[in-house]
Amino acid sequence: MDSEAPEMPGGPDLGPGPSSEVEISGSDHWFTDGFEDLLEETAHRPPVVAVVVIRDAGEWLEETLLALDSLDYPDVTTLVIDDGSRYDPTPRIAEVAPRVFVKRRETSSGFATAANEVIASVQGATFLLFCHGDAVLDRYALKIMVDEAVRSNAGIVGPKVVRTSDRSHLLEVGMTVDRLGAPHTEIEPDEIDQEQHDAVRDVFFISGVAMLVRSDLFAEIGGFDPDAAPAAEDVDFGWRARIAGARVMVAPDAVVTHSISDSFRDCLDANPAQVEGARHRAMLTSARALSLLWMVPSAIGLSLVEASLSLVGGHRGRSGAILRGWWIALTGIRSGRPARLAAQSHRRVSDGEIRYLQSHGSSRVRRFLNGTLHADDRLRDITERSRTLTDTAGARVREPVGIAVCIFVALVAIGSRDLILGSLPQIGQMRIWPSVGEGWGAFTSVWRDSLLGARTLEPPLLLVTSGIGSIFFGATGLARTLLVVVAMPVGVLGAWRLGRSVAGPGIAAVVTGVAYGVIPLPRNAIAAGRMGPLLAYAIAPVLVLGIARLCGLLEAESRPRRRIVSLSVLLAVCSAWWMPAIALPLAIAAAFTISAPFTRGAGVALGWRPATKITLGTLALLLPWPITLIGLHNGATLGFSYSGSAKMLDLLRFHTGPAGAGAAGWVLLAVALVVLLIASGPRFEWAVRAWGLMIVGFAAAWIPQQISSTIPMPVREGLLVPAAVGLALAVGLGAASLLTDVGRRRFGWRQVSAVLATVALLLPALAFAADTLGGRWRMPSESWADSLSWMESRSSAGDFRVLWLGDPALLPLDPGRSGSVGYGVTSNGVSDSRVLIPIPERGDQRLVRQAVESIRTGSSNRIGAQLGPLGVRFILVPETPGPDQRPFIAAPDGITSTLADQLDLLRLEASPGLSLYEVVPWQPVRALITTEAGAKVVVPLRSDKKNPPGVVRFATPKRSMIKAKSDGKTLKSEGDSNWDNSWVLPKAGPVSIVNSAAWLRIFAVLLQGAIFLLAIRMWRSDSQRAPNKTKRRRVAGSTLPPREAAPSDSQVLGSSVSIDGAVSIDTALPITPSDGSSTTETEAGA
Amino acid sequence: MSQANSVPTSEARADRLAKRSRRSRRSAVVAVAFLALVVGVSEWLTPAETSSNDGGTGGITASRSQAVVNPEETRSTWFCAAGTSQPGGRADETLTIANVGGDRSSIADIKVSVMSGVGVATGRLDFKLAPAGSALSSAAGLPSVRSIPVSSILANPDPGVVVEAIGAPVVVTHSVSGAGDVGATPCARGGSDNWYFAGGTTLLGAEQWLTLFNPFPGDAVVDLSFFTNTGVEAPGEAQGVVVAGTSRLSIPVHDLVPRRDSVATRVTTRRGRVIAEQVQIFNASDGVRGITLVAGAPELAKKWWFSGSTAQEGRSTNVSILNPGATRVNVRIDTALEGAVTLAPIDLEIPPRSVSVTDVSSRVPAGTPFSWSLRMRSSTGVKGELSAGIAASALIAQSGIGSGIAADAGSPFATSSWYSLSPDLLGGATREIAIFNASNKRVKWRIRPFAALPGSKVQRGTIAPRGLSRQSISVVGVTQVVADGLVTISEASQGPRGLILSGGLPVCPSPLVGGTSGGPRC
Repeated sequence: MDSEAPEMPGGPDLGPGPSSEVEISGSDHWFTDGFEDLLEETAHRPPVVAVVVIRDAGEWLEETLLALDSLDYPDVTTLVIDDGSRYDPTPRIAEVAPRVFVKRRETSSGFATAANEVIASVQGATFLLFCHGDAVLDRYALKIMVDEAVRSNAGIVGPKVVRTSDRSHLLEVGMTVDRLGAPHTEIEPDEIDQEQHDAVRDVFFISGVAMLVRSDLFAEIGGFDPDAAPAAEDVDFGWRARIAGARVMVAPDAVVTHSISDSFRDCLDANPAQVEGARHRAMLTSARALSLLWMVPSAIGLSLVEASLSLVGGHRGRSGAILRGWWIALTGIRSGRPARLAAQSHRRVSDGEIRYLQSHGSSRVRRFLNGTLHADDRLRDITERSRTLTDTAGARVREPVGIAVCIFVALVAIGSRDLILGSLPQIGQMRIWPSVGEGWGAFTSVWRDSLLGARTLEPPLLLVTSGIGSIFFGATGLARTLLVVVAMPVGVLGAWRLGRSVAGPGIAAVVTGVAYGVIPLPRNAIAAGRMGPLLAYAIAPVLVLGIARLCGLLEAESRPRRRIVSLSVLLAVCSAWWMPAIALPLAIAAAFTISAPFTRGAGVALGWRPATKITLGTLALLLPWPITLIGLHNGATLGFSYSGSAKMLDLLRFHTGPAGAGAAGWVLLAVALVVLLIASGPRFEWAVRAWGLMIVGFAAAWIPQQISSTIPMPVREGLLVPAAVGLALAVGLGAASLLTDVGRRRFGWRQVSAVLATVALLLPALAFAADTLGGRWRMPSESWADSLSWMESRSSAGDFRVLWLGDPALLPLDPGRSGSVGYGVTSNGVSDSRVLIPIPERGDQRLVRQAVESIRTGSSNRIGAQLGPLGVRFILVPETPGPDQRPFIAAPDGITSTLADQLDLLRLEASPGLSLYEVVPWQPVRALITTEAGAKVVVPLRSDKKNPPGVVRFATPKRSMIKAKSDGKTLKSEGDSNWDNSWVLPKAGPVSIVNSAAWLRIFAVLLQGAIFLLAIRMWRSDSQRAPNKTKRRRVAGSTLPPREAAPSDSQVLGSSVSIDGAVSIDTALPITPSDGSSTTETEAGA
Repeated sequence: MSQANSVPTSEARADRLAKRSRRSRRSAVVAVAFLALVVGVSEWLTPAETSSNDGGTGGITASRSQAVVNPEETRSTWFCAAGTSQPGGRADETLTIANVGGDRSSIADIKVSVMSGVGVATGRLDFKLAPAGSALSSAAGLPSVRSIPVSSILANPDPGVVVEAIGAPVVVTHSVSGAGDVGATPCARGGSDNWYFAGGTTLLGAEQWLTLFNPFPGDAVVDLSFFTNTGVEAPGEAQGVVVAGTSRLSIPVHDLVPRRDSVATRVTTRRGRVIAEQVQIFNASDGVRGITLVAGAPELAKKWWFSGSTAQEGRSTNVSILNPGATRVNVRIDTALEGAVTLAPIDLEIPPRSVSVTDVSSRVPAGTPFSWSLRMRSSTGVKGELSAGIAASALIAQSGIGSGIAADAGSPFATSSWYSLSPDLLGGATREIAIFNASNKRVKWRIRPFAALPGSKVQRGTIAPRGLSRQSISVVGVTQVVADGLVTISEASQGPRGLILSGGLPVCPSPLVGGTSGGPRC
């Protein structure tokens, strides 16, 4: 490409030689048009000394020197300062650039110190051009920069830096810093040069790749600060120049190529912490003291965040470097004081004006994204993968398999259209999520509004919803909808993968996936709002596949720990909604075990080990919340809230809800049975295991209800998940057998049954297609939570609670159980998913249960007197999933009749299907009991107003850590209170109720964080141990030989030399071109 | 045998073994799969739970509003709707409350509230009742049964009474007196959305008062329908009747649908729940004088039992059967005489939305106690639509010497244990308890007076299947009838102040066999 660049019209004849390799980019058109005029205007050009500081220079040095030698500038002298290289570069230099001056320093003191030598050594030069040993200037670059410096009266001018290997890729066009002094370029990774940055403009600083500096400025501000080394000399220098009033500009028409591979040795060898420290020092040196008051804390805060994220990402070294960098910077404040005083003494510009030149946002964040997360690499990776995927998908979509997948995805999209385009009703566990802020706030709070309220740990569900909500940038509604809609395709994808591994690729895998998709289980789960079972459905095939691999039933797992951690995380997310899911791996292991006698004993014991590990891992990820469940008597917190007496025939068809009725449900089962007859070899063994999964699933859903129809058990949709996986797998194996085993045999009953099975598979597929017509998988269009939103406005009369009663299947939370009656409590209305999982019932929390017991047994006609002091204002008894919905499920135990006969409950108007009562004698949760006209009056407690003297009452179980304060004083507890918290308010004043001792929650959050970090570390460590995984190179392209012992003394190559009478270079020795022995001669001469 | 031949033989053997192994495994798997299917099929073939409406094997069904007593409950509330409590009222109301907790029970704290409307002062009376026959009774000087005129608590033309008991099980009945007669019925245990009254008349000289009591905080809105011998009537002023919270309303049915031979009433609430009772007053215009009080039936039933009456000269026993449904129903009336004699059944066909009145005493010889039961045999109407049941009520009218009238709403279920509580208003009256064996086997029964003196005799006996036993009792207060089979009871009293027929109060948790379809309450 470069060789095809057009010759500059009107340009001087450069003749042959190395300089001809320096190409002029096509971006110079404007310059070439007026080139002649410009030459005349600047006929007498100011002298420039190009200073190249090198140490152990790489292979690009020669090219750099040749380019300098070929510059189209009449008065430029090149000075190479060798900063203590292990090998003398003089012969190399002499070979390509005999007119270059070389100055050697025997010991390395860093770029800044070496470069600063020009202050004393060079006289008469108007400009100094500092450049790296691998920077190659275009022929006109210097001229353009000088012209711009003259035209704009700039102190510092920089070029556009492009990549040596590909000049179309930009590296720098000037640099800037953010408000906290962190440097960055505004160039995106791999950004293509399309002249989009080609405007001459002010920048904050110019990097050391190539920098033209007015020599008087350089001398006045003392050159580079050696203490800003390594890597921050340019920032520091630019900043100081800026506050001294100098303009720093970039002239993008001056182009420099840079290899990014031969940075100055200081940077390569530097400790990352020193680099960080140097950057902080630049800020400490140049910013005003007043500005530092906010800059330093902000920068430290950001650094801490970056360090934490680096730690999470497994970059422990980076994390440590960030922290040590601050240590270096802060401990070096005293030693840096002279430099700071010097910099401030030259100040002519205020920090406010400087700030205009700084960028918004945080460079550290950008750097983290681009560096630690390797965003550029990943972006490229994603692009490449997307392209590959698109190509592959394009090819596969034309195959029968692809067509089937497309049809299924289309059907899911059609079937979910109302959910996607409309709203997801708040039924069952699909309650609306709190906003991200509220979610994180509640998660880190020490208080839970569930039942009567308690100081207890939040369930991990809040962590999951808040985390997912954060990923979706706070669009929790979208996240909730997507989670529901995507669960089915994800489950199908998992089943396809399972089928591919077990039954074989192609048709068999697709049949497995399709069979899993058309099973009515997920549709019934969606229709009933069972989020937990739906997620269990989504992850179950992956769990089966993972356990099978971990126990050796399938191809051995190369990274077992990583697999276990991954599965544990998946299971933890699912268990956050539905705790019984934690037993899913054990159920899978049990299925493998019961099928072992028919599969030559394979997997009898092997499956239990990974299953146990996954279960324990999940339990650990959920810590510390599971600790709160120890000694739990009520299973509601664990999801054991449901009961019933479903028939086995319905269970076999997964007919647990509106979907699954009819003969189509039997087809899959019949096909699975046929598979046992036609399969052979490994497929037969896997068919047996599939049946093992089915038996475990069906038994889990059927046996408990045979013990008692009122025994609390998890929802059936969840219990049937293993059976669904087994059934789909068996059907997939049937397809595989049809393609292989049956084909090998003579025509007979096997072939007939196989053909019949194939045809029959269309029935459940048609049933699935029919269910898509509704557009919402038979979910109600509206939920009670939507129609009862008016309740929130009632909190103006004081905080209150709402008691939900009825069939557990209809309540929008995980209900407690009293007999057949489910119950739950929400606060100030219908609440959100924060109350989905109730707190464990202990102690006085059982008062709610006792009240429900009274209602259930009809032992009282004044239940309001029992519920009122608990703060319960409304009682809701839904008998349908939502307003004007079906089916109508009568509230158990005749509680509607009991409630209707209560003498202190006021029945309110409500939609059909809902009985709504207001408790007449209710008391606010935060109440003040005072006396008016000799009678006790209960009024809501006002936190911001004057409350009259009386007794402050907080209707929550008594705890010493709950305190009431008035005017900063802690109120005295009232001894007469029974179960609640009461305090005496001696005089009128505002009252606030506080929970002390938040350390428990802090500890819990830290513990949870530590567990997650440990999991990530385990995951990564296994990832790094994996074969075929090359470690990312920190520094690419370094070809330097190993360092040897440095010479002990400095060696001066020459004495003071004057050049052209205008520029004299001291202590540098001109090297004359010679034959191959020049190196030896030079050294000898020295 | 050469080595070359031995190798194929051994391979064939191994192959056979492998096949046999595979076959056995497959057989086992197929067996397991079939086992699962067999479980499912067997479940499928299991007959569904029998309907509670089957009188022979039904479950425990009784409406919450019906006066069912649970001897284990320590809290109970009773609602008494009908009656007046002001001087010169048409139906002076008296409460009779008894602690039926037994010797091991505790003292019952009784709180009587007489409600008369929103914002109006509520009459209150608190007292204690000791368990009948216990040491507590004598030691504390507390009665076990107490009769309280409501007027002594609050004088009001429309008092609604709520009796709340804490500490022991109690039974509550109330009686109204007027027109030289007394009527009594147990109070209700709760409100209902529907009430049915099968009997009634608004002929000249008869007043039919419907009382609607709403003891709850919110207002109730009620619609009334009257099924008369001339058709269904729903007067405009009887629609959307508002019964304010904690108040009672008396509706003169005789003004709304005057001059009808038979008037059955259906009460339906649009909103809220009420307790409904009916008072009938006869002023001797046709030789019959007296007052009756019946509680409404909160639900229709397919079976009704009436434990008895005694055929007498000048006494008629008419049973009214209401079919409020949209289909025609066939009803059979079985009449049993004392001594295990049964009469030929009477089959009736009752058109939809109509009421039928039948004299069941006309075939019974004078002086013979008898009982009867109703059984809805089938319903015919629109295909697929079945009637929910019928309501029934009996009116016993005595003219001449010892005149008076009594009404019995019957019982929709039979059980093995009953309480009977008559008001102590009939000095010098004879009291009889009729026990009807509703089962197909001989039943032993026992009558135990609660407040009997120590050593007093407990009456015992047996009844033939579908037979009737009538026993005179000498004590007042609460009487318990216990049988080893399903029976129904009623208590009849006759004296100078008239004729009373009062149904018993079934006891939980003894098994109830019913003809209703309400939720189980025992």
